[in-house]
Amino acid sequence: MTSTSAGVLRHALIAAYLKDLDRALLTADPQERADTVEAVREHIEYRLGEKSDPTSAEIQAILTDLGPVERIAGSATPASQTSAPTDPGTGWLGPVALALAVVAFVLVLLSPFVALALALSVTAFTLVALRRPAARKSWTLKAAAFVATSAAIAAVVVTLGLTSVTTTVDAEPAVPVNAIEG
Amino acid sequence: MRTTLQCKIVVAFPMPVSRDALLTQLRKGLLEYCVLALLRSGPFYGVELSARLARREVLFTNEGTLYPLLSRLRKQEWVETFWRESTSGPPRRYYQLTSEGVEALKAFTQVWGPLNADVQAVLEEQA
Repeated sequence: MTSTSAGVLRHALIAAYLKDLDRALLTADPQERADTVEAVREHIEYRLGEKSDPTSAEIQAILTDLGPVERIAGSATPASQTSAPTDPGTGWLGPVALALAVVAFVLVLLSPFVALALALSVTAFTLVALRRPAARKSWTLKAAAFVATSAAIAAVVVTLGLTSVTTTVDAEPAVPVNAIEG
Repeated sequence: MRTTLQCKIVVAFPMPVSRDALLTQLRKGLLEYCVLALLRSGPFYGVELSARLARREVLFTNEGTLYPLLSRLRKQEWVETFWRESTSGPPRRYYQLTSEGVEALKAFTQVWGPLNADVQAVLEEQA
């Protein structure tokens, strides 16, 4: 913002309009409220151009074109429709996927095959779900993907370890043959 | 037992339909796709977009109502913004379509034609 326009934006009419707009958007979605006030400020700044000392009539014309603040606020999304989910875009899917990923991790030592199957399923589900634009910012889905992938890797390591131990045990007799004969 | 039967007669006067209220209802859900359609030709800054929309007087009346809509489109990731220096004033925030926005517009276009045709046909239908 240039210093000239910053000064103009302090004009009483503009300041009052922006303050009224902010107040009218009190019940709107917080992000939409902040974006709207900022964008309207930029709009006024642009329409004023390089005028360092606009008349009240010129300012009033710009504000009239913008419309009554109540009408702008009326076209915004009410906060009650958007603020409920703390993790937008997933609803209950994110938390459920995260819970299943944790279960998969716990099962790694108890039942590595079941853990591997569960972890791979959750990983596949979260990767598909995260492709949706609305779910990309979901921390629960991201956490579920991370935990499930870790569980899958851990399950593979444990399974390979168990297979290796079983092979070694099968290959070596428990009691030396000489000892029996002797 | 004595039963009393009461009959209440309610006279309903028809509510006059306000043109503004009707337009507000109909514009909801349409204007955002019109903004996406305008952005097909390239990025625009807010004032440019509102000037384009203002050519359609029935569709768009108050410039200020564009900004909550643009904020929603950004949130849906149908539109993204970037700043560009201007030779005649402060830097401007430009809005441009994302690939998701292109898809959303495509989906709208596919349903709008048949829907519009159906509404028109019903309106022209003889009783």
